[in-house]
Amino acid sequence: MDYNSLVRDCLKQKPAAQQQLYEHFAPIMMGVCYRYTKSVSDAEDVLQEGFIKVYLHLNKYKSTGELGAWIRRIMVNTALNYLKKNKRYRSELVFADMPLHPVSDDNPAIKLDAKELSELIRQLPTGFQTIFNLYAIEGYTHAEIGQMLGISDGTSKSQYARARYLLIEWIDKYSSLSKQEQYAGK
Amino acid sequence: MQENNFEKQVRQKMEELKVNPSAEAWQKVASKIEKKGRDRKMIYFFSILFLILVTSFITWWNSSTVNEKLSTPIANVDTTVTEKETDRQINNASVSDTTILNKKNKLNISRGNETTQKINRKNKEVKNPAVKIVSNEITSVSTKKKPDFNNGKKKENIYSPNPKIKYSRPQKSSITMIAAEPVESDIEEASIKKLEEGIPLETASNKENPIDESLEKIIDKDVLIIKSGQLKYSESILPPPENKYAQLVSNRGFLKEKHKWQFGLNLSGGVSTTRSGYLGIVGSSQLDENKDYSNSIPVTSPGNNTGSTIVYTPSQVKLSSAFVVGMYVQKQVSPNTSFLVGLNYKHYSTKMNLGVRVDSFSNSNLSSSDFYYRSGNTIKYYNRYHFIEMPVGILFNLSKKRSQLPVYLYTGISVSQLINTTALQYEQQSGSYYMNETFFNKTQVGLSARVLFSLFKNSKKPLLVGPDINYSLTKMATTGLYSDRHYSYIGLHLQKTISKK
Repeated sequence: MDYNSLVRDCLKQKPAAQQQLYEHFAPIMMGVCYRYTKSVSDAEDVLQEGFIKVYLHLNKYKSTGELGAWIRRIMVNTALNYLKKNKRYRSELVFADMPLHPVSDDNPAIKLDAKELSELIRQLPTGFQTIFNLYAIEGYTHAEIGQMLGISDGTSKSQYARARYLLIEWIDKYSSLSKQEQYAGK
Repeated sequence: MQENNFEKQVRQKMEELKVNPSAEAWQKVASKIEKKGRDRKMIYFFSILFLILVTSFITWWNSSTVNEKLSTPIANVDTTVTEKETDRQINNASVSDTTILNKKNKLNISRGNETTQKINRKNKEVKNPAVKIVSNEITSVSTKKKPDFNNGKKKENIYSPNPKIKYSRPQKSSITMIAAEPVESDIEEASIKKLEEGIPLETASNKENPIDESLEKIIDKDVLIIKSGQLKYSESILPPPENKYAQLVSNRGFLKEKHKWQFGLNLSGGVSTTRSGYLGIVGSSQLDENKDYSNSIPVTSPGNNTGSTIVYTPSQVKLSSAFVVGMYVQKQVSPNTSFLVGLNYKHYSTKMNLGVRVDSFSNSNLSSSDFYYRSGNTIKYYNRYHFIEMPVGILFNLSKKRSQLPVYLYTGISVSQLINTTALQYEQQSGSYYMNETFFNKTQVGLSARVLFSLFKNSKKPLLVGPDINYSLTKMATTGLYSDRHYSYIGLHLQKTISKK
């Protein structure tokens, strides 16, 4: 797909081009939004808000960059704003230093599919979930995450370690459970 | 790297994650884009409309001032200077040759060395000495000291019969009228001779009216009138310097002058509100009780532990004090209009009645701060808004005569940035008020209008005072208590230019 011409058409406010852009990126971006929220409807809200921002600020997109990455950044920022604004998430988006956090050095092989793994990530408390998404998946540094969320990078690190520990634990449990189910099924 | 193996796996897995949104999602996005697009178009439309209106007003104002003065009837004049010609003649500074037409004769006035009066040879009427404007700076035409044709005495800078005739009034006029090159016809030569000899000229059409008389009557008070080939003047048509030529010529002179930017200070005090419409005139003054003013339904209800069965009514948001202080620079762009740009600090406030304040750390789901207010009527709370504003506008001088008290009309547009606010949001189900700045639209675009009167008429740096209104086109917030509401302000404005003209 020629993104540049698509962007040009979108800038000309052509509805067909706008829809094409949406349909091309919506499933991937919905996945991003899904990881940051707790429900599909919230994820859709973020997706809609994010795409509106995309269309409104498309003139700021530089064709030298990757369009998907640019849209993804918008989605992530929109999701973070959504979490901050929405009371349901804001109450859980509490970051406290955890000096005695468990540290897991395990690097287990993940045998879950993407959907299953994303469900586990979404089970994390909102704070953990957010920091895990930002660090492990988006690739932000703890300093950057600290700036984005208004916390220290130390807090970000400790929160991430806790989230990672929990997630590895759950992956192990989930994997063993699914194995048992498989054996039982057999 | 072994340590990042887990993260790598997670990242790879998550990149594969695709979730299909519902079918309605695109419809919602499309409708919102369309609405935003419409809003943008409306902003562009109103901006352009505003510019057109301002430009039209300036044009109309300038032309009406000129036309009104030109259309003033001049007594006993058979043939008057035609407006169009005069407009062109005076206003168009680039035109070197200007023509004044009358019904019978054609008098050309030039600013070069060319012949300035042409004679209608066919009817052989008046053969007036040619007239040439030699000054570069035209402000008025005057002949306070009449040329003495009868005795033929040459008065330096007053009258020169050979064949250049000069009229000037140094203290007032910068126009000098002289005869140009000798005219071609015999009659013209004869006329000049007569002039040189001090013999009054006679016209073909009106022999009893000598040319010297007509020349004598070339006007004081800057009015040049041609009557059947004669030059006449009416002394008391208009008082100087507000006669038509003075105005017209001053318009022309204005174009040549360089106008500097002037610096000034402004202060405005009044009341502001945040209701729908201007100061609540349009739209309801009460908040909509059925509307959910919070961003979403809260999990906890700090003001009411029993849940959402009790629905509280939000307090009425009332007018409160406001002020604007700042500075500006202005530049005169035409005799009656100035362009202004400024930088202001703007403080708006509104008032509401609240219940007790509750300091609660567990209320972080509602507030960005660690407290909230319950509904009630025990305290008066002031929502304060602090802005930095950049106004841009046009100042029109409405007073048509200098003798009048100067009155100005200012219309402008301003862009302001909300730098801080203590405004409270409202959560309907718990009936609590909480602070959250993120709901507000930080950048506001507003329209301003004010009528200003000069307190010291003769001062070069007058103090202008008058009523001031301001309405923000941008909504205060997209969500919460103040969504669909606009800032509005009315007050008394003072401004004073500091730097000299």
